[in-house]
Amino acid sequence: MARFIEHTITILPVLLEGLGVTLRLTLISALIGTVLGLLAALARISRNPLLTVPASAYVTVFRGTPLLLQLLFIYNALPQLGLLLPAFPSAVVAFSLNAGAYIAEIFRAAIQSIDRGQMEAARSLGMSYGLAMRRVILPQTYRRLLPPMVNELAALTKDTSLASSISILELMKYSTQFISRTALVWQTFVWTAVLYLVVTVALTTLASWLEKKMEARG
Amino acid sequence: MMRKSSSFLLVILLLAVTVLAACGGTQQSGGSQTDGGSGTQQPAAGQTQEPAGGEDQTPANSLERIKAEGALRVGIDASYPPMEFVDEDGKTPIGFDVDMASAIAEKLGVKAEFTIIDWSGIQASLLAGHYDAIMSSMTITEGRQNEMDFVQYLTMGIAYASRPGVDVRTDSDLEGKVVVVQEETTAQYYIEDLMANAGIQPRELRSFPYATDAFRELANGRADVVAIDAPVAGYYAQLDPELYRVTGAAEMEPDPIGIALRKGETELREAIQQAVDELKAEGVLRELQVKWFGDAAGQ
Repeated sequence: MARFIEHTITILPVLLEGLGVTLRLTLISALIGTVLGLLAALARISRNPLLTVPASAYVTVFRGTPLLLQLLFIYNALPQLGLLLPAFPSAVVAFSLNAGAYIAEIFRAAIQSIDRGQMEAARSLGMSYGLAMRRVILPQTYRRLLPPMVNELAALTKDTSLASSISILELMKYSTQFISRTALVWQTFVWTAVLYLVVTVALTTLASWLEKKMEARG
Repeated sequence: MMRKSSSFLLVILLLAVTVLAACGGTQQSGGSQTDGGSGTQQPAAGQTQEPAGGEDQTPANSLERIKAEGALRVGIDASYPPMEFVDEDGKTPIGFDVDMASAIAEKLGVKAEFTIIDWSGIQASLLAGHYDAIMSSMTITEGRQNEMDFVQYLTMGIAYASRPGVDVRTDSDLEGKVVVVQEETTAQYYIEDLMANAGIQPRELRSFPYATDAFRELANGRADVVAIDAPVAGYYAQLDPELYRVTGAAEMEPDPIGIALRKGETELREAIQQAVDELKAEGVLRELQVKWFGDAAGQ
């Protein structure tokens, strides 16, 4: 027990630092991924093949290949094609593009779940397509977006552990390095799990609070 | 409608604030890393070390570039004690290879900068140009020599570490045992070769990403013996003597261990070769062997 407490005191500050890297990767990628996802979703449901074809190709490629492959491709294969990105930007690009592909489908499903009549009514009032989308359709999707977005963000938080394969020291990597040094496995993994849970539980709490708030406002 | 828009805005704002706060943290932690002078390369520091398009403006050769930058960038997988692992602080790279890399860098008149990376990606990242050399207990094999140039600096044998009640002393004792190895290591290739060519049949051969995983298999009683580089077996045996003991060794010539470089970087290879020769002649290599593995390398 004394050894466990001593071990905890040694590792917690470093694991927290790793959690900081994990959070930074997750939040930056989530933000870029959300913008990408919204754009890709709007492009996909448009009638213009110049928009739908690239958007569908993007979603197909990044949802259809392993994230680890995308990460290693950007970090290790792009330099052979003349683009050498450092580790952190490589990770942000990979995680954003990957999350964006999933988020695009979340947005598309939410938008298409809104009754077609809403768009027709808005257009018949003289609103342009863009204005109707912004003022009428999208605001109605927020509540439907929340649960799948929380899923996606929780998954992204945990997926960032793959970044150690491109030399980023994040929570999971610090954890395995401590285990390599000390062979104290459960004593290390317990705290790693707790830290991941803190993030995902905070996320779900925020989401259910928002959900209630939107419900109250009707 | 306005109300809904405002709560959506709230989410975006919250996200933005958190990201900004997190980014502020980046600069701080990046700064303290550099101040520490530990040589740990953090992602934030990495951004400044790899100028965009640096490949185009490279000086005549990589040796000159390294001297101009004042840093020899070295890739290690810091999960292989006592060869390369992290200090008590969980971050600073230490170990035989780390000391050796620093000594070589000193001979070149620069300092060593370490990038910690998973073993599975260590070669691809060298070839991609993220660092200049791999010094991570890499065995010189024919396959790897097709991809990279090597400067040999050490030899290592493979040891057998058994759980209590099992006593694997020689290759033939592996017969009928559950054997674990770290994946893509010479120990794995050696056992596979024994199975294919020497008629020795372990009950099962399993491989894991990390050396610790292999030793956990012994501790959990799911395996009988770990085959791994001798210094590493020695490290874990002294860490938990009641769980695993070094009981024997592979009947083989010790493997040559080398510093891996991109092919064709002749000036760098010659400079490192000369540094290694000097360190050998001066007895530094010997001192480091005694310091880190009490001379268990078998050289």
